[in-house]
Amino acid sequence: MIYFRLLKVFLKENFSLRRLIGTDLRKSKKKAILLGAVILYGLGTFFFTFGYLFFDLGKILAQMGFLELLLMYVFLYSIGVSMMLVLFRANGYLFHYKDYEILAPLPIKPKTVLFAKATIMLLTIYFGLVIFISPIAFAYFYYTGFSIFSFLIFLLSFPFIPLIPVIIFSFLSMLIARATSRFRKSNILNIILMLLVFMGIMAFSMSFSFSGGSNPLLNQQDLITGMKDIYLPMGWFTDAVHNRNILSFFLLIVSNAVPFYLFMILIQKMAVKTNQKGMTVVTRKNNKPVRYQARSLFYTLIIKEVRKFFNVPIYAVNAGIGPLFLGIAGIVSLILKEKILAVIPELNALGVGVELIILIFICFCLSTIYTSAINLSLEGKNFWIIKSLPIKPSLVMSAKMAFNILLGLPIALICLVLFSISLSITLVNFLVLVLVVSSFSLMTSALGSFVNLHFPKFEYMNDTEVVKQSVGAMIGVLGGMGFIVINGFGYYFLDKIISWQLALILISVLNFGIFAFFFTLVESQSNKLFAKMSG
Amino acid sequence: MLEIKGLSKSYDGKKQACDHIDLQIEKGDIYGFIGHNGAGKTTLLKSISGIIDFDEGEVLIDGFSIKAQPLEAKKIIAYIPDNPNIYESLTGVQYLDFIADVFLVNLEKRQRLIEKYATMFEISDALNNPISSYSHGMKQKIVIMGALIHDPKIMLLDEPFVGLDPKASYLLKEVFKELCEKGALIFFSTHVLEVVEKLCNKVAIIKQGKIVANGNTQDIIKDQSLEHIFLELIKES
Repeated sequence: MIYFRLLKVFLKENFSLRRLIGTDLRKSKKKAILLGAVILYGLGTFFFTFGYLFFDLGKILAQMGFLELLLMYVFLYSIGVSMMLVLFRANGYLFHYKDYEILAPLPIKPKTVLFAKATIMLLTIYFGLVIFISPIAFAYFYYTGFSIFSFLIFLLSFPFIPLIPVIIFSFLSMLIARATSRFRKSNILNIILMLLVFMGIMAFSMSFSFSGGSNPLLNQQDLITGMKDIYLPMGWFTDAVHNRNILSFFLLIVSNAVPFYLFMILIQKMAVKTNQKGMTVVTRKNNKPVRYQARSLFYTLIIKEVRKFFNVPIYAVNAGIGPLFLGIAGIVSLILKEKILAVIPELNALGVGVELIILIFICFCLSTIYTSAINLSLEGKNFWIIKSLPIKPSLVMSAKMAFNILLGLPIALICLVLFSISLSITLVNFLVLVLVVSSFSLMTSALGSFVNLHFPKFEYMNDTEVVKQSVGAMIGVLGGMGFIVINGFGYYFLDKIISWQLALILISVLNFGIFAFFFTLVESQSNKLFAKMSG
Repeated sequence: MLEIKGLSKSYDGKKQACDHIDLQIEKGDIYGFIGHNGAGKTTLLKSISGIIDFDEGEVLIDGFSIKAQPLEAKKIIAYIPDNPNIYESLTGVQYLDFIADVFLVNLEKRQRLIEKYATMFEISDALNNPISSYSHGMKQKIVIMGALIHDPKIMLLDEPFVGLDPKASYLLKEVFKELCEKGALIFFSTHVLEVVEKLCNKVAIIKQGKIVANGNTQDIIKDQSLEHIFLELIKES
């Protein structure tokens, strides 16, 4: 059957090890070991934080006799993760195939292609969901006592949970792309709209109260049970698994599968049209006088990075959310000054200084800025340009690193100034914080460049593969967060023997040292590694 | 002058994509490079321009080794790939400005050259548009303009006429002649044998990574056609 043959090709194109990792691990044992360690570190961090939180919640819910709440979490997280993934990827998967030029002339029904594409999109979603919900499911089955029947219902129901969000957000994704494409600055508009939707979802999930209680998840109980009454499939899923109710199981499947099938039938023609439209390029006459601008080489390389950033919405949204949070937090701190000041004595009583909280927040935001970990990969098929030009590879890498610093550090320092004003932080403490924040930004940027130099991924069909799924992205973000932990440990031990200001100064020195180490490695290795790369 | 001495390159460690290639290309030469698909033309061009590394041999560009002194060598050359993959998010003029910045071309010169070539290739109206809105031929023209913007002494081109309309092809040939008169050298691969016959004073034929014929075009062709010679050489085992 053509559908399965297509699926086989798409699976290879999307999920082969080489495509996922961007490098042939058989050729480098060092890379294989490093990657293995990073994956273990990432999974470990996830399961010991997120996983533990739900395991602990399961214990409390078991005592309360309300374990089905965990199933509602499974459902909600499945929907949330699906919404995020679909929003960024559905347009590319369903409405603008990268390989349309290859597929269109083939004697294959458009419907078959669409179904194969949708299958791949769903598989990507399921892959993400399994990681997210497995700790919750584990907690549920651990505390309810494992029942093979419940588990089977769970496994069979799971693929149907995200189907309705997929329908809604696929449309939204396509509409955003369509609405913005008419404007001259369509990419910028696309970024803004994506950010608005993204932040809307974040704000909704943050609307859960986090005050008091031993486990913050407990406070979401009312809201979640309330949602079950509004969105019926959630209740059917809970009932099917928890009470082994076959009717609920049947209702869940029908309520999701039927709309999804109808959706697929309905969008068939639309998918063909949008793909056909995407193939035609309209070159308009532009009589605006041409402006020539001469810049220094380093500056022009940075400008190139800036343009790339704002022209790839998925890149700007993912790596730009940190600066946005920093900006918003700084302004909010001025507005909610009184409320924050009221909480400070409580924090001080717990032995946590307000400066430390600010520092953790700013460093966390900085760790989400990982452009240097992916911007070499994003050269993609254009890498030949850089390689054929008389530019030192080390200068290319330095510009990429500098862009990461410029994207995060200035706004982090502005945020710090605003926090210092609103919370009346002394000048000396402010300067100490500036030192830590600066060193942290430099350190994470240099780490990113080092990672991307060693794990470039030039072969990809969609920028999302580099921005969200590449090894560089994974190590870039996890590495940054790892540095927060290392700094935290350093602070924990140093704070016992010296003043906290001095402890932070010493940590900054360590950070600057790590920056110098990675920077030197990037400088010295880039010539050799560029020669080996064949983008 | 471009000297290629004993250049070998293998992708898998078994089959040689380029096998001990020796070529010497002098100033003023328009050197055609022909071969069957997969013969090693693109590999050789990418090796010369420093895009890929090679296993053995040496490439000297005006005396600079592409391996030991890549920056000095690259300042002299311009490379045009077989597929014009360029920064689609930039406008035409932004791309050309970028290339001009890299080669330290001053504002007056870049303006003069961009205007000259944009008028020549009839692309002036599109310079402010994003490259993503360009047709294949327009992208090819922008890449060619990027290559010409710094007056290269050596031009390396991989099938440069693909995607160009007849007028643009003619103009590019004229540009080749103009550059050669100024002392530059052109080394390009092509499958259009008529172009080599009419345009190139020298030709090299590559087969399975080895140069099987090389020299003055007229000496190689003699009283036959290049097509006949090419097919005979490719047929021989």
